[in-house]
Amino acid sequence: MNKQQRFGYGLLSLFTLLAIAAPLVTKHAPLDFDGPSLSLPTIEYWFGTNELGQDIFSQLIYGIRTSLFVSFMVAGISTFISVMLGLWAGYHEKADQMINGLANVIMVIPNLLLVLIVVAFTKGSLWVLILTLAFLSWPGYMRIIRSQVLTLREREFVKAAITFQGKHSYILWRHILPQLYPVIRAKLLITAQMAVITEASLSFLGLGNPNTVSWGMMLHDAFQASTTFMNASWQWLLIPPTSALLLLTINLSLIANGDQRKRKTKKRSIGKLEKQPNEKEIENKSSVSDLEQENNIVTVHHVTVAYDDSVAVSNVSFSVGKGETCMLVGESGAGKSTIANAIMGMLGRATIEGSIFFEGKNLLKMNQKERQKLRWVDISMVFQDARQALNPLLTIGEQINEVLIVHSSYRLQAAQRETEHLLAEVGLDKSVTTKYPHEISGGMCSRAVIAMALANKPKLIIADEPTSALDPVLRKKILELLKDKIETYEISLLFITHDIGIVAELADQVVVMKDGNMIENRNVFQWFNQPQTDYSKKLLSYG
Amino acid sequence: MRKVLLGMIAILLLTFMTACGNQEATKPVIEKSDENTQAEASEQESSNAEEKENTKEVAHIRLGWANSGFPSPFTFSPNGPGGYLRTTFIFDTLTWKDDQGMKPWLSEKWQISEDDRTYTFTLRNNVKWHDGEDLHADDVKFTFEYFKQHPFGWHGDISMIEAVEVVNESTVKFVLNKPYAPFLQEVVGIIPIIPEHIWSKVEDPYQYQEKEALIGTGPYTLTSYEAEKGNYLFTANSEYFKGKPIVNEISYINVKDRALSLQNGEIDAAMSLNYQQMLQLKEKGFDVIQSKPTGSAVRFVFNLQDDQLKQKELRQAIAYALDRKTIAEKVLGGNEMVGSAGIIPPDSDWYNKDVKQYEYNVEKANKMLDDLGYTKNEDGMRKDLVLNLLVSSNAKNAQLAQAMLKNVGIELNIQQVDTATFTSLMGENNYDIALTGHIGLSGDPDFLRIWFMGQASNAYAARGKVFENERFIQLAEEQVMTLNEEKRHDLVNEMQDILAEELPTLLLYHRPFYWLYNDEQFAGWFNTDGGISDGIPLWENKSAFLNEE
Amino acid sequence: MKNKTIKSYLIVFILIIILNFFLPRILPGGPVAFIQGGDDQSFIMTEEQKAHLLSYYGLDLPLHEQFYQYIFGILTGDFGLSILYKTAVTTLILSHMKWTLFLVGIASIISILLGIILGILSAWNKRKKNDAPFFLAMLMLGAIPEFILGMVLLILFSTKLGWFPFSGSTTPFAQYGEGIIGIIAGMKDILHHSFLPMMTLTVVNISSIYLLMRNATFDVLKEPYIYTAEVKGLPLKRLLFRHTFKNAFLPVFTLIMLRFGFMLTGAIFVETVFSYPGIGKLLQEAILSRDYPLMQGLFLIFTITILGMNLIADMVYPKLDPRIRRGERTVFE
Repeated sequence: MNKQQRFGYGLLSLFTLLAIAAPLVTKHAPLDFDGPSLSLPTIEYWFGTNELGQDIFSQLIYGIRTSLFVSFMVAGISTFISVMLGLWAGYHEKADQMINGLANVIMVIPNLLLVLIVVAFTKGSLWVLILTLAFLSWPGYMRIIRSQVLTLREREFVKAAITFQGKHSYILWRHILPQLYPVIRAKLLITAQMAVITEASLSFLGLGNPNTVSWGMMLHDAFQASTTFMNASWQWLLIPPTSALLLLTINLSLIANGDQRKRKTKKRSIGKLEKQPNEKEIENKSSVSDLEQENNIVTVHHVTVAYDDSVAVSNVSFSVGKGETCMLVGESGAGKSTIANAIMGMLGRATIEGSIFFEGKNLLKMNQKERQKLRWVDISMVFQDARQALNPLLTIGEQINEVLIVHSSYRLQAAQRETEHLLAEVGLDKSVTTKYPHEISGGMCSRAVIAMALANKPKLIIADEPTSALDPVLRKKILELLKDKIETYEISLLFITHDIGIVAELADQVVVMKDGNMIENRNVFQWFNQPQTDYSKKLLSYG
Repeated sequence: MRKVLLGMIAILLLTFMTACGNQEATKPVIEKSDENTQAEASEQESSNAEEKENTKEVAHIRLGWANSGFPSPFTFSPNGPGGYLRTTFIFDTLTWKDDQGMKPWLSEKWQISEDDRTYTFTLRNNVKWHDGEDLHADDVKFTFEYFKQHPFGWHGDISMIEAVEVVNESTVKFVLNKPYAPFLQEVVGIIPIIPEHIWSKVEDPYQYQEKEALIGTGPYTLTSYEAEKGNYLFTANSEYFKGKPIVNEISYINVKDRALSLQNGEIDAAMSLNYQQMLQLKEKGFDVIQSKPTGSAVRFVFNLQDDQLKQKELRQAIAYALDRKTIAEKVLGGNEMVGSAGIIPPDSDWYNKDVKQYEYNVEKANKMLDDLGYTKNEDGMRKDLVLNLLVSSNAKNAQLAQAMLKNVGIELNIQQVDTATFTSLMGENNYDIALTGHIGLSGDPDFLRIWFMGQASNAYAARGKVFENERFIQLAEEQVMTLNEEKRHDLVNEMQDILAEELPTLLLYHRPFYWLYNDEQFAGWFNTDGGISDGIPLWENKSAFLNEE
Repeated sequence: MKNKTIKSYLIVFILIIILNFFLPRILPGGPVAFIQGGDDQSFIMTEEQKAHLLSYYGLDLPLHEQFYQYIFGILTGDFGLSILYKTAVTTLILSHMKWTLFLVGIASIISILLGIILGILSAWNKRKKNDAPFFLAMLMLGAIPEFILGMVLLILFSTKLGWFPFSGSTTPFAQYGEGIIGIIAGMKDILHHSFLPMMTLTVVNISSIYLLMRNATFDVLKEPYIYTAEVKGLPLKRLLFRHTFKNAFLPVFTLIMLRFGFMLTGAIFVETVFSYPGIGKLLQEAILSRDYPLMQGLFLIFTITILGMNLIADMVYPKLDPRIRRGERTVFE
């Protein structure tokens, strides 16, 4: 629960308290008419009186009762129906059909019309309104719950529970229901808000119950009387119920959406930073100019990356020479991709220290515009899962064309020809240009991604586990293709992998990462023959 | 979050401030609207100056009323008097009322036979339909025969007419099956005469909405009707048999709030029910006429078949327990007139000055209730006395009554329903007390018979249920056949006495209506004696727009 | 489209046609009870008049015969005569519909466009820094009931400041003159009258579309292909509107189509506050007066609109998403 939600619940409790304590808080009964007509706010009548001489303050406080009662009841009943039917539908196929059919009809009926019809002739009863609203508002969330139940059923722990216990009600109650709490909570709050608004709106249309006080009715009465607009009385007739209504609905929607706002994008972290690297230290180290060698394409120099207060990569240094292939090896979570992201400038809100030189220029000192210019012109990437990396709604052709058009100022037709040429280079037919990613095989996707990486003949390609999703035969073909291309065009390659087998095939140099630290950086032959750390030995023995 | 809160507070403060600022700014705005009307008025003056012979002519008056459908005699909406009233601009009747009372209109004179059963009307001979045809006695005969087949959608009881005979081209004779005292006012004063040459060809008049459906003899023709917005524009009929109307154009605008629109200068005259509102507008320079006699009332209808309410003493106790003066004052804002127990309003010619009245008296009410055996429990409530009050649009009165009856230990449940439900619940006799408000009390007193003798199918009375009081029934039937005014007065007085004692219905109060207008623009408004068309206490009487000698 | 979808549409449609007949008749009191007047009636109706009305509108017939007539009417496209207005229901609905369509149409277009653009930008900003203040503001906007906003605008801008008219859709009996000047004057008048209700509808609806779009965009921004697009160094506009929008719009699209259908009925509050002669007001009057034919006509129009929107959504969806060319995904699942 965050600050905003705490505040929200606090306000809601205050409202509830006021509603319960209404007789203690108010001096006059809400429907008593002892006061003078249209009195200004006074000590006796804090918010003034209406035309009949009824106390606005008292009506306002008693109005909370109506609003809260309706909203709690509707939310409770509707959520109960949603959950029950959702669970049932998710668990029972025959029931599913029936429940869904009913939901379809309810969703198509103009709800408001039905409410109007029902309320029009049962004005006396709040309960009729409550039941109608509850009846109309369950289908949406029932579907969400149903689909969650369907996926939960496939989960291991539920399956296990089914095999062990077998009793459905127990499984639903103990294993599935707790998983649904966030959804149920959202449903409760959203329905509560809807109910408050609907009750007030209907009362405003004049369909309220005259035996009870409600904000909507206060507004209705004030809005109907023309005197309201002809003198200043609208200020104390309209503003208090309007403000109260807004406060309650806004409050409910803030509580309901509070999680969403604060939902943190969780990044992997490798533990607390023991000691922040001294800034001076880094300053000193990065001033070493002999590292900025001309023949090095990229030099990573004492780079530390931290998200908030957890460190992803700490003090990593290595460099990749022209035409050279450097392998970044380590388990997942070792910080390999963070290095790649640091080079590409894709770290978002993380803080980064140290320096990264590209052809002698410090990337970290560049502004966003200058960096943008390097992207896909000098540095391109080949991605882990080629199919995922391609936009499903754009054709392969479009996705390759655009890098040519954006970066090399190709005209569309020229770009299309170049794209066909690029595809041919990676062994794909030109018909692929008009295909969507889902229409071609995984291998073809990988080839297309390589073609895309080659588009502007970059100086460096960062390949982030490009073959991990492929079967061994395909993997070999793709690696050969990649190797062939970087050799043909003299492109440097930073290859991220946890597959030791590939290291032997491609690498010139190996950087071993563990828990965000670089533990070894050596020539590939040296590393294979004389691994210096136990971790490397372990890696090699698995490989 | 704090920022947000601060922002909200700031917005609220801002609205408050602009509100307060505007409060002061309202006055100049009003003055401006006054200037506008003045400017318009002076414009009219200058345009009128050019054609000096017609100095009184008014170019245009804008009035406000809700949509009431296509204004033919068969299609206007009967919900509220506006529909019928606007039809009377286009169509004429044999007799009509103005401030002087009933006068001949399409007829020149009439004769009533000795047995009071035959009325012979002589028609005016210069009357032309809007399409140029002459009005004949045949049209009158046709009208009443046509309405027998296709009932009129307003006060339209013509069942007493046995036959209509054409004597000659300008004389027509009505034969009644029994004497009917209000015949001149309520029958021939309400039923619009329609042209035979148009309607004889119409099979289904309720669907007929061609231009021809609006051919009448009236002082105005409809120039424009914006159906979905409910706006009407009438233009004076220059060939009218009483001369061209003074007001050249009348537009009816379906405004949201008449008083507000009047203040904003969107309309030129408006009706108000609220005394405070009237005072406020009067202060802003509008002239006021109060309806007289007060033809409107708000009342309780008791279900006389209810086991408890059939006790006369309970009904009387309720009358004593209600501070009707306060109810009226709160709801109407002042100038209240407590309802007469004898129903006919005190300012009417038919009012019985000696009729029994029920002063507000809680002690007496309590005593009567105790005597009836309804004992109070420790909370001060009489647990056997829980009554339902059926309302549809007068909820404010109900709330006040609820609080007052609680004082004497009666629990009143307000049951608010919509119009149609209200009527059907009453029709099923499925109510204890019903709260209704309506007009029509200023006209002929025959309404007392209609209310209580099951003649009206409406909620006017315990519907279809006769008020079982032999003497009352006898009086009611006698008065309608008595054309002698003095004799009829005596009968009606006695009826009021019975009603006051028995209280089948309790009038809470009479509602004066106020007409607000700008006399510089048009000052010809007047109170129609007994209400337009025998009961409508409004001011849009077509004869106000005519220049009669 | 698959047979199953067509079947489910048909079933729902038939159910609605049946419901449409019985729903109005469940209400207590009929049209004649309304004409007789409730507690504020103004004329005395005789039993003969009442009987005539009942038989004229066929309300004295047995229910099953009324039902045949109703079905026959629907098959021949004749919804009958409105009892309240004594006008053909079709004419009546069309003349009011144009105002509602105008109001709702423009308000929808503006709110959908703005909601989508703001949603995308907000989601993008959320990733970069923080969109909380803006998000909260939109959240609050979304929590304002329609009638409250309308009321506040009406009081401020019409009653107090006098910038906009108090009610109606045009100046009564306005004559705009001939030619282009006339057309411009007419449009000015209509816009002047519709500005506040349109604003209300737009503002109230913008928030929900914004929230939908923001969440959808936020999910899409986490997808690997957006990473690809970013690494590709594409300009922001291209990144957001070519790569992100297309994908984020998919889940929002169906919802927007559904909302559009519901907005027609939703206009009732705004139309009440501003006395706008739209279909919402007509509906209110129809229910109040138990005008069976008019209620049936309106109800049918509403449900057909909603069903139609669903159908359009079902048909257009595959065009938006090349992965679904066989029309598997429908609103009815």
